[in-house]
Amino acid sequence: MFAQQSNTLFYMHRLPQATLVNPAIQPDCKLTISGLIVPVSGQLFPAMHTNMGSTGFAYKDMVQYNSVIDSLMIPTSKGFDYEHLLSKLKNVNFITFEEHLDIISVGYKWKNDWRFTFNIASKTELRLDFTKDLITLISEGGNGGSFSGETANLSMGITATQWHEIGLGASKKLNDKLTIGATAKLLFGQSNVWSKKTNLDWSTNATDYTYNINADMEVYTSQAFYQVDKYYYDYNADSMVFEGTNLNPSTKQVLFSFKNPGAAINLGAEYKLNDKINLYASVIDLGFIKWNNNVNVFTVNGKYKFDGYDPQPYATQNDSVINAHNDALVDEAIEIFLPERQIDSYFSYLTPKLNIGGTYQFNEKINAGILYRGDIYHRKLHSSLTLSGNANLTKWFSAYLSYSMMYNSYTNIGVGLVAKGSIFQFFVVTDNIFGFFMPQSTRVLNARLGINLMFGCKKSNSQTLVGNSEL
Amino acid sequence: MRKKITLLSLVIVLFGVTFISCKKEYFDFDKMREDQWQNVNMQVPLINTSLVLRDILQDYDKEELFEIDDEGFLSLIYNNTAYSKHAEDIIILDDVDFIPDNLSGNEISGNNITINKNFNFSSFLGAQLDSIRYDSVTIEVTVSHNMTNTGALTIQFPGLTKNGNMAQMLISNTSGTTSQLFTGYELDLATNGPNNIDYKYIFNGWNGTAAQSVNISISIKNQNYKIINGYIGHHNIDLPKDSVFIDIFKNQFDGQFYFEDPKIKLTMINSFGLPIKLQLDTIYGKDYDDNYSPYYLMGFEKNPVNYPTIKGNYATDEALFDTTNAIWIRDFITTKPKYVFFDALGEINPDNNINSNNFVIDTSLFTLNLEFQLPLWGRAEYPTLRDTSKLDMETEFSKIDDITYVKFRFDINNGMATEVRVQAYFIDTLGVIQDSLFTNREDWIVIDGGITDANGKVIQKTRKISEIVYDRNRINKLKNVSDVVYVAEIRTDDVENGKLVKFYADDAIDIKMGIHVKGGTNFDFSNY
Repeated sequence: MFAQQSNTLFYMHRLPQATLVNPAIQPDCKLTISGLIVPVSGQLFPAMHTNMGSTGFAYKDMVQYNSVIDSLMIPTSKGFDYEHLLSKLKNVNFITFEEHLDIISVGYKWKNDWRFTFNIASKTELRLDFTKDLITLISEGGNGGSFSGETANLSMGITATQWHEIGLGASKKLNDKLTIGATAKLLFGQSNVWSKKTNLDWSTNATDYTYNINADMEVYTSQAFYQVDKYYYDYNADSMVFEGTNLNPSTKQVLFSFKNPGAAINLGAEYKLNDKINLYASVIDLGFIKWNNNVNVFTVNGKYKFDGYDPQPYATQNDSVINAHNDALVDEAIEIFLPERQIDSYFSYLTPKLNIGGTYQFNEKINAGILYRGDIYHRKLHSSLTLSGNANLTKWFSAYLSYSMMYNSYTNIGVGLVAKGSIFQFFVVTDNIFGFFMPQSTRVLNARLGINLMFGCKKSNSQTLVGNSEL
Repeated sequence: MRKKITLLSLVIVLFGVTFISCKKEYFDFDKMREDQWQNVNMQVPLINTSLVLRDILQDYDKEELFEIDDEGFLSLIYNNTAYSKHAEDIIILDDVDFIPDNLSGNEISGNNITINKNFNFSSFLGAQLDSIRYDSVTIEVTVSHNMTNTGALTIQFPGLTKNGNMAQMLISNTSGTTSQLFTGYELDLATNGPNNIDYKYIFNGWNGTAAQSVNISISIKNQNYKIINGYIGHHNIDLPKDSVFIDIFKNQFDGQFYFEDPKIKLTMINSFGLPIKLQLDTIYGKDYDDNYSPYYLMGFEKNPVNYPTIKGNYATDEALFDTTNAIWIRDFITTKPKYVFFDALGEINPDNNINSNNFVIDTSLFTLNLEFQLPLWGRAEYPTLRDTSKLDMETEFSKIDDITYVKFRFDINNGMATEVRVQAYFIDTLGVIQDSLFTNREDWIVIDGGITDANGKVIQKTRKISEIVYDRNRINKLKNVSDVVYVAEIRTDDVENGKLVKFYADDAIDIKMGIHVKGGTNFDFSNY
């Protein structure tokens, strides 16, 4: 189970930010404004979303407390319980970090059935993936004693992207039952590291311990800070050396680069099945960025077999013979694993998210929701499931309680709170409230908060959750 | 409702504070252990080699020890120079003292008084030399007299010439010894008869009576020749006992082996222009334990050894001893000699034929090479090959602080026609055995020989996989080990029934050794 954005937000329809996960949602206020550049409120509580997650382990799995000796232990400590750590890991594990900052977000409702949105946001997303086999290998000193007769998957990848987006959206109530919406976004990539292929496997022959290593890796990079001029293998230091030029870009060049354009679209729909049941679906971040600025594409593709040293050159006790033999061994490995480099432009793709869910209305104030969410990357669907109770308790206060299965974790209780006074709407939402109290045990920690300015909201006393509501 | 919300908020806050209070130790970084430790669970393919027989037996600087025929059949060849003598060691021209001449005073009185003399020159008994070309030679003349008046004395040697000019000496010291060095002269000993040298005295201004006399002694010394022509005479050549070192048995201590077709080849290289008779009477050896073998009768005689007829050339001659003409040869090889000795006799002009036209030049050389040819066709039972190599266990294993076990895995494919049994002994600096790879002989690694065809040639390799585990206790025994002694016994296929096997150049033992170490070590991660 895996997800990124706050799932609890999906049914917080009083928030304009709900359109970020379903563009068909139409909060009732005529005009909504939020973002970093909104005076005072924008700086006090900038509308931002932060997410950190790990599918494989929690903090306490990596920083272990041994009560017997009253000590903290990390993986380099003697007595660190690797078996415990490994028991928590899946075959492939992810660590994610997201930071979304709304620069400006405006929503405008027109003629009761249209709503238009405009937003500018800056987004940073980082995802590391690694295998359990890789951690096993590290835990054993890098020689795979546990993989005798097996093939270890040592893939490790990274996807890190920082970009700006300008979105223009519209939603329309087509009839009493169906509302649809879409947001078209222009993207401007700033930096990217993308390991498109990460295939690296290592097998150890059970009989003679012969190593067979297969590598098929591609890493794409585009960034404004450092230009690689050349790279080579340094035999003396026994490592790869990259030499280049620090580009020393200005802040303006970093934040307002338009050299890497892209586009994306969000699609959403809301369907009122009957008086009790509403259905929702959306697809978010269908899009790409074309990276042109300071591009490097490194590829490694090869097979390497090491089945032991031939002692006969060493028996000669002739330094030149021995050195030539050793160099040949190193050269053989380098020849295979020395990356090839290209500087062609490339496309990277956002992580599409699929949301499908529905709510059941118990009464005017309370409903229950279910949401399936799937994020698509590495050619796989990474799923999460959220159950929620959503309550507009008063016309100025709403509360939301959720339970999510995500990040291979099943103890995520989410909370959302929305409070309104005058034109100010304060909100905070998280999928795992325990994460703030028990950070050592949590695998997911996210929060979205901010202040919206709300204008032209309906003056009715309705607190219903049926259909769109105002607050 | 408002009270309920407030109460709920309080409950949540208290709940959270309680949890954080209980788990604060996770964030108390003062309790972080400072040691740095790396678990070790390594499986490493350590050795992968394919040893052919020449790798096992030969030293790397002696590639010439093997011969491979067209079918790849191997023979071990060891050779050494048993005997090598230059002309100056065999043909030595001794100093020659002429018979002194005693001349009466009245015989030499006057001017230009010439007296001719003759001396039969021979440095060797029975030699009839035609000429000697010298590099250098010294003539020494000693004069004594009781004459009233002395004058000048010149001695001429018409047979000793250089570029047509005869050698002569002007004796200024008429009451003493005069020496003169002559370089590049040739002495003609044939014109006036074999070995005959003419010379003459020329007196000027001497005056004496019949009662007075002059005594003159002439010696030819330091005869450094370039060429000697003529019959040199019959001589014995001093052939001291010499040895040939062979190292095929260097690592072999025990066991029995049998070579089906051993050979010894003598090669004689001769640039003396004269007949030489070579006689080898006996052969014997001394093994690596300094024990001498019995004497074996060779009964070899070569008369004459081939010799050149043109100056500057050389002639070769060979003699091969094998099982057809030397019944002793198999027994002799079985003694595993380290050094081989032989009793030899040489003669120059053994037939004493004075009509032989001999020549010797200063670069003439007679060499006798002794070559052992051991075609690897036979059988062996437990000959033991041993070797020692450094193994500083204290250094090696100090890198790993806590070893649970070390496991050695061997994957051996034997393509040789021998069963191989392997053991290793770990010894300290005093040579005391600290441990061995196997405690019992029956536990030794045994790799059966490859499967052979009817001709004894391996047609299929035999595979053996072995595993040896050293636990913590056994590893502790190795901490003082400084060397490891490898022992390998070999045994050819079906040796009990006398089966003979053959070894070919491509017969090989493929050895793979992997090591599996489990434990842990202190590790300074700050270096990485």
